[in-house]
Amino acid sequence: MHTLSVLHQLARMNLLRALHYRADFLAAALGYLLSLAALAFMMGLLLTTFRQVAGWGLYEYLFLFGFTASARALWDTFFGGVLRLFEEVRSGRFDRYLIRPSSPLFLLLAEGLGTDTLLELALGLSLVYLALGGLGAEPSWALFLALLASGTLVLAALHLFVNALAFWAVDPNPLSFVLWRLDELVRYPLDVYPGWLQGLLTFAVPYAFVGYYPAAALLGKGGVGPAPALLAGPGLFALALGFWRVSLARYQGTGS
Amino acid sequence: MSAVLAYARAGLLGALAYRSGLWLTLLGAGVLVTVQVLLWKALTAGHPQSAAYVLFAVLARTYPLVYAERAVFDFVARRVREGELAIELTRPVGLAAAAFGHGLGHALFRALFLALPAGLVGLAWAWGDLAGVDAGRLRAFLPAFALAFSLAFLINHALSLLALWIGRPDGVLEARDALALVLGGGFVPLGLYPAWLKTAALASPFAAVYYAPAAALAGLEPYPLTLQAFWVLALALLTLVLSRRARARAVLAGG
Amino acid sequence: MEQAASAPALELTGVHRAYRVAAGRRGFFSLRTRRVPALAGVDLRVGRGEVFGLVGPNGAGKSTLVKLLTGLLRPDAGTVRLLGEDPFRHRRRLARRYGVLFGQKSQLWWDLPLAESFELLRRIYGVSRADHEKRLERLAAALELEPLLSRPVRQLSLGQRMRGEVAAALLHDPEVVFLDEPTIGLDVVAKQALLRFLLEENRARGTTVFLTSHDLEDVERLATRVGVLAGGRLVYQGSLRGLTALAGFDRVVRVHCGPCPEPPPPLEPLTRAQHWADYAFDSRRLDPEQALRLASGPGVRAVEVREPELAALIARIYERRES
Repeated sequence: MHTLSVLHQLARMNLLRALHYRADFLAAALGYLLSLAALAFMMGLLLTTFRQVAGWGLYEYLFLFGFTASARALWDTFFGGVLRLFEEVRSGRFDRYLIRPSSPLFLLLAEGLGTDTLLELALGLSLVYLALGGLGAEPSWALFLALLASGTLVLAALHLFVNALAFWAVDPNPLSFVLWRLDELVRYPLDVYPGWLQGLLTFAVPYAFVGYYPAAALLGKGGVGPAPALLAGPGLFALALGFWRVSLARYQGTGS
Repeated sequence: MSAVLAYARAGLLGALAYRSGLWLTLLGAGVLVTVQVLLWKALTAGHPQSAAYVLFAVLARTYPLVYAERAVFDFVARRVREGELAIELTRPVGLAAAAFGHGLGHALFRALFLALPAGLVGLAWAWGDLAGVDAGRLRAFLPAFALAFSLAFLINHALSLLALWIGRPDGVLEARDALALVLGGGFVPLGLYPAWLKTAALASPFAAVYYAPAAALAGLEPYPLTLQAFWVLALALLTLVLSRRARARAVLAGG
Repeated sequence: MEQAASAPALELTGVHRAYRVAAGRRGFFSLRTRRVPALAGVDLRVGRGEVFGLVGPNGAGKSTLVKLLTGLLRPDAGTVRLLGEDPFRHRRRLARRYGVLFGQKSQLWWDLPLAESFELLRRIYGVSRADHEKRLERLAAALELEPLLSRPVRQLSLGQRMRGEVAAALLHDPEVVFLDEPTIGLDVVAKQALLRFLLEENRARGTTVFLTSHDLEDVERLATRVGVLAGGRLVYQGSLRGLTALAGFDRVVRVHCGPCPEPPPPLEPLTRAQHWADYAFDSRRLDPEQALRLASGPGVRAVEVREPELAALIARIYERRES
């Protein structure tokens, strides 16, 4: 099985389906985009009044916001399919992935490719561009893309880990909900929070590696350099992948 | 009156039945309040009105939980989706009164189990900023909250009636959320708005819902009570018109 | 990778498998589970080109057996061999060589035309465009799918959809095909057509077929050998004819009457309906002519001797096990 050829066909099929329900998809995409834009606007308003929050000024904040939004959009596009896992396992339809000469995770993700995320990505990248203009900064494009990819992988790792619990006959939705709430926390620079909360978001639930640490590295803040942020994504994803494999083996070994 | 209370009781029992999801919602609310408090502390560090802003942030994130907006909206929206609206229209209680009672029941539940704990969490972070609260502010707060509560109900009930015409009610809610964020003055207090945006906010009912009560209690630029009352009347009228249309359409569509 | 002609297509040896079943809640998230044995020592052998029909009561482990054979599950004990290899360990490699039809779970994309789902499968199984076109042409003709290929699956009737599912399972020219409830929900005409097709496919291409079905007519029409699953074990494995020994009768007298009298021994009552009744007997102990005589009597309009239906045999086998 040629991976790219299957991916191409599934991207096509997802798009066709989206076109079929285009009214719904457009409404959902626009609605989300509006709320994202509204939030960016309001935060921009605050920062023009109060100058800065914990050392992060208007353009630095917009950069963080845009970066995080882009990572989220990329995650939704390529890894969003993982959210369907519980329902597929519960209904028994997941088995159809296990009878194919392919990786079940690949098929699960590829069948769930996001189609309405392009607008969100565009917004995120526009904000990044705007912010860089305001700051007069020009980070290396290679570094930017690498850090964006790493941030996306961190998000992918977190959601993969939580949703793999479906294989243990555990409903991952409550934990998934908590994860999305943490997303609210990291909309603002980590420096706003007390030390223990920063530690929680760095080591316990490494959400801060989705946007904050990569953005800080690109803006030259924090003094640690890009290495931790670059490694976090692949590292955490490898861990999550390991947990997926263990969970799947258990499901097949002693599954219900 | 007793009919409305009956609906309130049903609403309360309904909320209690789904309480297993409560601690998650509470966790979420707690996180949101915490974020707001910490953000405003960092934003206004050293600012003379810092205490007022931080207190405002706690309040603005807490008392709207009591509005039970989703419950009010779903009262009609769910019935429309499942084709049961006509049944509700045959009852001897007006649809609006029934929806209000339902919302009231949920509001009681949320006040007790959501707003109160979340508020306490917020205040734990912002204990020192409570200093300015006195009887005068409380006297200003209560009528502002009462009017805001009624207005929130009217807005959401009117929106739910739109579900008869619009296929995707969720889109309506998302639009409301975006508008409430920008025009509601709950995230950024009205006093900090640029002139044009402030005008737009005052020309919409949202600030009366999300800004007015918090401003009264936190001691920020007050929102005129008369303006709040105006919005309540305006929305009541709108709801009346929509109800008539909705009744006709519901019967036609057999829904 | 040609195996010796005599090597079986499917083989289970001493297989045990238990299930976790929900039994109350433990804590906030998870369910308390207990282990319920589904298969307790199963030995099974299916040769190449055979059509094997597996029969058993609801939830008795038929689906479990299919999942074990296709590598979806591992046995708790014993060995499973598909085309001579362990289907669990070599799942991805073996998946190319078998196809599965889950009667109750669709594998097709609901909103898109059939052809799109087929194209997806072509790419997943790495089938060349030329081979795919040839096979699709043949299958579409045999299953009358041509006018349906460009229609979204959700617009198809159940019968049409099932034909599409069958085609999907066979598109990559598998050596073994597993059919789990293939005719469920189908009307009489659709079912007959599907059975005809499957029979032809087995005869023409020598595809090994493993069939599980509630509908015993499926098994009766298609199977060359039959297995009966009861109490987690295969209590019978062999030809249809051989089932009669296990059931204790190999002939049936159908009596057209109304109301029908109780049959005199050694005739045993089997089925009772408004206008007829079936009585069972063993033709080695009782001569059919004698059986006809015994069954006749006042109120009896007609009598005839028949071979037993599979359903009756199976029912009797289960009854006997329970007693």
